[in-house]
Amino acid sequence: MRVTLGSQMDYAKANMSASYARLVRLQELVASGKKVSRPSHDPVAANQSLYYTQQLADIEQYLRNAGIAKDFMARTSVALDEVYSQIQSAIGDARSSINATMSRAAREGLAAKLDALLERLRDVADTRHLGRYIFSGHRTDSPPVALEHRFTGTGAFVPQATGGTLTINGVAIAVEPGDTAAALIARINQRSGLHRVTARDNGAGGVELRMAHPDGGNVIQVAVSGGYTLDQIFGTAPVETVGTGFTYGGGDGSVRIQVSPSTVVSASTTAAVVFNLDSAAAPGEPDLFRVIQDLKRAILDADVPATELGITRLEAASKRVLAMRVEFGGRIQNLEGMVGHLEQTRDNLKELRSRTEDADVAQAVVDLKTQEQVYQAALFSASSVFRLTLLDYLR
Amino acid sequence: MGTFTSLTTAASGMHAARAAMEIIANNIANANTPGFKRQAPIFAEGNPPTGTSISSATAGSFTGTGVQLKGIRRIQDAFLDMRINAATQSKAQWSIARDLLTAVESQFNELGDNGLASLLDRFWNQWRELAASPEGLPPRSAVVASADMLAGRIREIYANIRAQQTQMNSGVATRVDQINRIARDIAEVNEKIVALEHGGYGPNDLLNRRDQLVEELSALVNVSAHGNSGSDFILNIGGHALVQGTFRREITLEQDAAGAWQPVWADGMGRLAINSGELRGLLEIRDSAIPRYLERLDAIANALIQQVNALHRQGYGMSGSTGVDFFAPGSGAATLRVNQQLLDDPRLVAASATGEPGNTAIAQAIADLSGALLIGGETISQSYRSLVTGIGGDLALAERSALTREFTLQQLTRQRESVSGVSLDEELADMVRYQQSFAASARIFEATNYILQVLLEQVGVR
Repeated sequence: MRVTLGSQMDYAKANMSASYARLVRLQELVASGKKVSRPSHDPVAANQSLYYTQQLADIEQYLRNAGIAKDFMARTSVALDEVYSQIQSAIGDARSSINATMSRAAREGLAAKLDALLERLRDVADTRHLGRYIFSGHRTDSPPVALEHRFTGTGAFVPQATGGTLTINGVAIAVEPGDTAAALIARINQRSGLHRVTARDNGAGGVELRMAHPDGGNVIQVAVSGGYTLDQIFGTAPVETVGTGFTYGGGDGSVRIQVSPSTVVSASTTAAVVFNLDSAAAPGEPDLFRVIQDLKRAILDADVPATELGITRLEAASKRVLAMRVEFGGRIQNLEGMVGHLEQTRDNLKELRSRTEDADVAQAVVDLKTQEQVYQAALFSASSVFRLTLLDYLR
Repeated sequence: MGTFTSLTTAASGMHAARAAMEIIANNIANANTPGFKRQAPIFAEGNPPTGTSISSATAGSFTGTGVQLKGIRRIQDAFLDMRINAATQSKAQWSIARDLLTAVESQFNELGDNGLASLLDRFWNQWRELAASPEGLPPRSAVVASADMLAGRIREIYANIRAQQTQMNSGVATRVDQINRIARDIAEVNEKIVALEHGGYGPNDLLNRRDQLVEELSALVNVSAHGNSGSDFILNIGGHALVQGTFRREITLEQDAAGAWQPVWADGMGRLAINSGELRGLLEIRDSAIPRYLERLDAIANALIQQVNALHRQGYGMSGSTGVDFFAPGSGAATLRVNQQLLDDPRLVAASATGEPGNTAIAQAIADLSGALLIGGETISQSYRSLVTGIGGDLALAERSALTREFTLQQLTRQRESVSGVSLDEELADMVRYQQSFAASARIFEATNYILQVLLEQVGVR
């Protein structure tokens, strides 16, 4: 092959620039520490790296969520402990009162103690975590223990020939001509936006409205217009009364928090279950607050059978709370296991991502040095070859 | 043949040597001229003597009559030129594809922390966070902010790639102009070649110039050249003649249905059949690759708008609002925006399916969309990842192809250089050869002259 000066020069230039490009790439590798800094460097590795990054972001979020869930559960757990110890203390007090010789003053002392205990339990029920009532199910903005408001009169619903409109807490509901109480009750219960007012029969054929609300005072606003009067719907002279009993004022469900792609933990329980409000946990049995109120009366009256009944009920409640406490302990443990697993996965993913996108710096530095030598050799050989020419030997 | 013949023979030798030196001088002078092909003299023996004047000394046989310069040839391999033109076309196609895709890829900037992929992650994770603490305003503001950033980034990428696509129209126009200009130059060169051929001269420098113009044209579009002389030279693009002798055809631009400029023959022979060169690279990226990328971005935006809105409309915000769209209704990446109502009042962000503040079914369901196979059997994130790695793959292919084509071209150019290039050492060696040849002829001249002098002295007048 004929070699001309031009081809020699071009060849040397091409070699030098290729050599220099390799040098620059290695320098970039060492400086950035990244094997893949653009998707086109290695599309497969880039895809993997993006995947790992997404998984890592998700895991970080799951860990945050797990933290939120754990705080919530810990709060619930502490509250359950408190309920348990209050019940135990009430049982002790009740036992000590089954003693014929106990003075009236001592009984009054016990009664006052039970009052304080009741207040304490209501406080525990109203526990809030970051502004959320932890025992209120999904209705985290309402206190879980509420008073039951009723609105009704005495007597039956009287159908009228002309229809009218019943307005409950600002929501208008039609009352048809010739309506029945049952039909109207069903219609009211189907409506949403009534601020948790429910309707039922007042026992005499009239309509009764109920609402759980922590306060006393009038909270059920009722008005009628058209062919009906309040008396004809609710019975004669309807009034709002606040029941003496307690009722559950929270919502259904529990606080559910996602802590992994497939796991949603239930981080709370409701006051209905803990305190047996509305007999939610033990059908037919009164709620814990009522039990304590009854017990207080039994102790004041020195009514031994009633006191013993109270003790039995408290023991049953204490068992339920203890079981719940144990269950929560288990859930927290599971959650901690889950967090451990998430952290391990995170570390694994970090290592995988690093293996995919990080350069082997030691290797890269060695390569860089070698390439530098190669480049220098290319420069040197080019310079020595270009000096040769026949001109030097012609006179 | 007379004694004087030796004088003319020696003179022809000196004349030839001088001509050869001139050619060498021209070769050396043009050693670095692009497109120059080295030239060499074609020598032939002199014409045999005619008539009856036959020297007695050589009775019965002929001596030669010296040397004559038959012509000057360009040393070249026409087949190599064809291969170089083909290699130039495909190298140019891949190089421009590589350059255009590099610009597209840089729009995504994915492997950093603020790529679209991490914005998507953040968007889903803000919903997860909202699902874990659904009551307050802060997680809602965070959801809206992350969605706003995501939507803004998608719109920006979309708009930038669209702009690059539009920019390519002017790239096409520039190249069409260049093709027309070069075609005109070639036609002019042909005209001169025709004129000189008539005069009987070998227009080597014009042929070099034409070869170079064809090579320049090869970088732009697939051309094939046939014929050598001025009048029978044909330059084709996809079967239609761009230049034929001194005639040339104009190329112009026509807007297609999508609003993109397509090169067409000005005399109504339809679109050019372009399958190589920079034009091919441009058209392919503009009309095939970029629409594919934009379509994918549209699909991602549509999935977000439709799926998130469908769930969000069923949910309840902090103040009991319901039926609110999360993203402004629309279609395509260019329209992806967070509903202005939500930007104004993040309390409208719905997490609850029932209106109860602790219910998180909607937030959870929206967060779960991150794992749903919404676009052709892929999740939104997967689909986006495929887009990014798809572009990376296309670019990597273009880079590799450009590199191998460049290598091939280099090999061929080196081969041509080895055939047609000027080697200074070789020229110097030839120079010495012709120098000596000149000196030898001069010596013969001198010797013959001496013989003639002796002859004249012997027989001459005293």
